[in-house]
Amino acid sequence: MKRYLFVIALLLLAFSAQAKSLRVTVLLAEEGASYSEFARSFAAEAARNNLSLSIDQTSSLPQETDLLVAVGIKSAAMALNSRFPVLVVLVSKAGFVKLQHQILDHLENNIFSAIYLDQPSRRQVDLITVALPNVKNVGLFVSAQSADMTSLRKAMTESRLVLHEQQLESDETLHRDLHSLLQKSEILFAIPDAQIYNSSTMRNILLETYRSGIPIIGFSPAYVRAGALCAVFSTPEQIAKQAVSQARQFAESGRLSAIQYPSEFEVMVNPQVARSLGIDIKDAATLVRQMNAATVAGGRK
Amino acid sequence: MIKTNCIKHTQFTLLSVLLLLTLPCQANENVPSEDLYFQEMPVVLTASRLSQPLSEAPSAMTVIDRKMIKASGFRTVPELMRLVPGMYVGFADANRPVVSLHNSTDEFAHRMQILIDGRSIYLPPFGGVSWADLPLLIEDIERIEVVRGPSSASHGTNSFYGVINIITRDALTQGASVSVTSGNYWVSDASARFGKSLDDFDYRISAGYRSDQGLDNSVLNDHNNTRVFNFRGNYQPNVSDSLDVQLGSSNGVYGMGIAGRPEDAFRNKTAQSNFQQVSWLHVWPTNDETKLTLSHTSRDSLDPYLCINSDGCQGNMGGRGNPLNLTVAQSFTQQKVYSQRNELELQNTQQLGASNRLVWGGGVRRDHANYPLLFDRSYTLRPWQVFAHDEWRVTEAAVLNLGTMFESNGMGHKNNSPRASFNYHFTPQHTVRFGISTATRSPVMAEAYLDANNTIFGGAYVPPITPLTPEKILSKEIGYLGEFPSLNFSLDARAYVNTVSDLILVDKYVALTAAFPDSYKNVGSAEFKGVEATAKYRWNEGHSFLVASYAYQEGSAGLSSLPTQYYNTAADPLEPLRYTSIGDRVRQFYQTEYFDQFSQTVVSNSASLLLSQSMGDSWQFSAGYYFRGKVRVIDVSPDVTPEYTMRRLDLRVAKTFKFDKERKAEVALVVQNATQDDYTKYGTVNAVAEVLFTRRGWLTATLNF
Repeated sequence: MKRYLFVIALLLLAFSAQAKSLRVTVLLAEEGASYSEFARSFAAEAARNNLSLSIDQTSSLPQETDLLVAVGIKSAAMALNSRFPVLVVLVSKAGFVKLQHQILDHLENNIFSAIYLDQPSRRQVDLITVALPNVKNVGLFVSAQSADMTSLRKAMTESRLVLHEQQLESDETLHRDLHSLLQKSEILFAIPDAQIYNSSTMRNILLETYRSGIPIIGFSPAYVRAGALCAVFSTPEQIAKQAVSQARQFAESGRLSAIQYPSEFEVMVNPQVARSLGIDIKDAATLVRQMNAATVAGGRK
Repeated sequence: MIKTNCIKHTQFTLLSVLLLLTLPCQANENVPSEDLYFQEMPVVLTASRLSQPLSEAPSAMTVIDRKMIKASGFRTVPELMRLVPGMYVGFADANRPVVSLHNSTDEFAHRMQILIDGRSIYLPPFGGVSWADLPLLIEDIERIEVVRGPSSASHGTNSFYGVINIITRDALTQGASVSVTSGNYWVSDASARFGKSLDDFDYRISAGYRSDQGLDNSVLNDHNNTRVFNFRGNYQPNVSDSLDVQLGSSNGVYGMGIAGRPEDAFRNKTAQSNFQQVSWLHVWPTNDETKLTLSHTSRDSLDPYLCINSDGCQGNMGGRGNPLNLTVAQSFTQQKVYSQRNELELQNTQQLGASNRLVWGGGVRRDHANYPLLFDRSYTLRPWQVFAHDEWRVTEAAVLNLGTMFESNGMGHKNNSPRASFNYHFTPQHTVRFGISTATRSPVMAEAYLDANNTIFGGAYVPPITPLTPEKILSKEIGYLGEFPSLNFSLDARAYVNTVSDLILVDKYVALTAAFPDSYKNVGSAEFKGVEATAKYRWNEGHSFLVASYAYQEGSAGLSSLPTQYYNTAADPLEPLRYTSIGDRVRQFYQTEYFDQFSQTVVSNSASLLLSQSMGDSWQFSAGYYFRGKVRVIDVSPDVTPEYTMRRLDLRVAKTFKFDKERKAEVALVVQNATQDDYTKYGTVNAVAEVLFTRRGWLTATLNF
C-alpha cells in the first residue's frame, strides 16, 4: 500500500511540475558580487522548495518568459519597459520610486512589484532602542540629495528619540557640519546618501565620531567592518528567499503582492568598536531576537 | 548614484566622455542606485587604531587625552607626565628633563620605553630620551598612553618600569591654525598647522618653535630654542590598504653650563633630530590586519666647549688630576656625537574564532652610535625580536591576556619576557585585574662600552671586566576598575610589587691603574611596592572634568653580587686614613651612596589633580595641583640639597571667540606655580640643586580657520 502511495505521489509531482512549470528569467544588467549572489541563492532556494521553475539568467531582455526578476536598478529600468510581469529586487526605495516616476507615462506592463533593500523605518529605530536603550539624541546628517525622511522621523518620535538633523551645506563644510551635529548627538545614524557618506569621506566621518566617542549606526556590513558600531540589513540570500516565495505565489495565482520591505534581516555588531567606546552591546543574534519581539509587541498594540 | 557614476567615468578619458554622451546614461539620470548598500568602505577603525578600554588592558595604564593636555597648560611632554601617578619628573636643567617611574639613577633615566606612533625614541648610547629636541609639537598629540609596569609583550624591548606611548594626530586633521605664545622667562612659542583631505590622500603639516630662558640664568645657562617640522600623509589606494608616511625634524640651541664652575662653562650646544617612518597597513577581508613599518631616526649634537680635564679647566696644573699639565685651552675640546636607529617591524592582528585575538610579529633593528671621547670607536648593534600576544575572552566576563617577547639584544644575550593577566568583569562596570609581567633591560651602550680617560663623567671609565647581562624585572599586581555611570565617576586603583634583579650600577675601581677607572656591573637588586589610584569625575555633559591621582610607593635595594674591588685589602692609595683598604672604600661607597639613600630615591607620596570647568560656550577655566614628596636621585650625594616637597598650583583661563562657523580664536593665560611655593630641583651639585622653580606665566593666542 505504502509503495503504491509513493508511486502516485511521484507521478503527481512529475505531472504538476510539468503542468505548472513557470519560466522565470533573472535579469542581471550589471555585474556585481551581490547580484550574482542573489541569482545563485534564488536558484538554490527554488530548488530547495521543489519549485518547478525553469530559471534563466541573462543580461538582456529575453524573447519569451513568464516572470522577469530584475536585479538592481539598471535591470529594473530595462525590465519595466518590457511586456513581461516584473519582480524588481535589490533596489533602494528612493531609486525605485524615482524610476517609476520617470517611466510611468510609457509604462507598458502593469504587473510588477518590488522588494526594497531598505529596512523599514520602524526596524531601523528598533535597532537603536534595542542595542542602545539609554540613547536619546540621534544625529542625522542629511543633504539636498537625501531620500525622504518622513517615516524615519515619525518612527523616531514614536520611540521617544530626539532627532537632531544637520543639513550638509557643501562638500567643503562636511567636517564643520559634522562637528556641530556631534555636539548634540549621542549616536550618528548613517543613511545611504553618497554626498555625505562615500569612501573618501568615510575616514573623516568615522575618525571624527570616534574622537568624540560617538558610535555610528550603519546600514550595510561594509559600514560595520569600516568602524560603525552596528547595522541592520538584509543579505541578497534573504531577499532571494523572499523573491522565491513571491515567484511561488505568482505561479499559483498569477499575481504579485504589493511592494515589500525585506522580511528577513540580519544585524552585525563590531565588538571591538563597542569595547573601545565603552559600550555594552549584546551580540547580533540577541539583538535580532529582541527586535523581532519588539515588532510582535508593536504589532499587538 | 548612477549619475555620479557617469561623471566619474567622464573624468577618465576623453573617449569615455564621447561614448557616454551617446549612451543612454541620461535615461536614468538622478535615479539613486543601490550601490550604496553594497559599496565597500575603507576600514578606518582598525584594531590598531582603536584604543583599548582600561578595563580590558593587560596592564595599569594612564591615558592623557587632548582635553587634559589643553587643560593642564603644559608646553612640553615631560611636564604632562606629572599627570601619571607615581611618575618622577625632574630637571637636570630646564632643557634636560628626567622622566621615570619608581626612581632614576641619574639624568639618563633609561628604564622606560618611549614610543611615538610605535617608533622607539629611546636613544641607543645612553638610553632615555632627549626630551628637549623631540621632533614633535604638543598640538600634534592625539593622546599619550602610559603603561605603568613592564610590558615587553606588547611594547617591545626595554619596556621595563613602564612605557610612554605617544600617539600623534592622524593625517586626517583638517583645517589650519596658528598659535603664538609669549610670557616671562622669555617664553616664546609659535606654531602653524595645516591639514587637508583629498580623495585618497590626507596630509597634515606643522611647523613651530618653542623657546624659553630656562630656570635661573644667573646660575644656569639652560635656555632652549627648538624649531620643529612635521609631516604626516596617508594614502589610501583602495579600501583595504593604506600607506602612512611621517617625517619630521628638530634643530635647536641649548644652553649648557653652571656659573662659577669653569669646568662647566656657559656655552651653547646644538642638536638636530630627524625621523622618517613609512607604515603599510593591509586589512584582510576577515578584518585581520598586517602592518609593516620601516623607520629611521637620527640625532647629532655638538658641544663646542666641553671640559675633558676638570683640574686643567680650573687652571690647576700638575697633581693627580692633571699629571700632563694641560693648560686651560688644552682642557677644553669640542665634541660632536651622532646616533641613529633603523627599524623594520611586522605586526599581525588576527581574530581566531569569536574569543581569541592574536597579535604577533617581529622586528629587526640597527642601532648605531659614534660618541668620541666616551667610546673608543663607533658601535653598531643589531638586535631583533619576535612577539606574540593573545587576548582570550574565556567567558563574556573573563579576559585572559597571555603574551611574550623573545629578543636577541645584539650584545650576545637572548631573553624571553612573558606576561599574563586576567581581567574579570564582576559586572560590565566593575573589573578586577590580576597581572604578572616580566621584562628585561639590555645594557645601554654607555654601560657596556664607556671608555673615557677624561672627566666628562667625573672620572675615568673602562668597559666592564665581567660582561653585563640584561636587568630583569618581575611585576605582580592586582587592580580594580570601577565605572559608576549614574554618578559620572570612575575609579582605577592598583597595588603592585616589582622585583628588579641584576641591576646595573657603577662598579667602583675596576682597576688600580693611575686613573682608578670606574665601570658598570650587575651588582644590585631592588624591590618597589606601592598603591596607585586615579579617580575621574565628569559633569556638564563631559565638557567639565576632574581627574585626581595619588601614588604611594616604597623602594629598597641591596647588593646581589659584589663589585670588583670589594675584597681588595690593599691600602687605599687616595685616602688611606679614611678607608682601611680599597675594599673598605668600595664597601662604604655602596653603603652610603646607594643603599642608605635608596628609599629616598623613590617618591613615597605624590598626587595630581586636574580640574577643568567650561563656562558657557566661550570660557574655560582649569587648575592643576601637583604634589610630590621629598626625593633624591641616586647620583645626588647626601651632602647635596635634595628635591624638597613640591606643592604647585597651575592655573589656566581661556576665552574663545567665534567669528563665524569656520573661524574661531582662543586666548589663554597660563600661570604656573601661581602660589609661589618655589621648590628645589634635581642637581648633583648644590648650586644647581638649589635653583628654584618660580612663578611664571604666558599668554597664548590661537586662531583656527
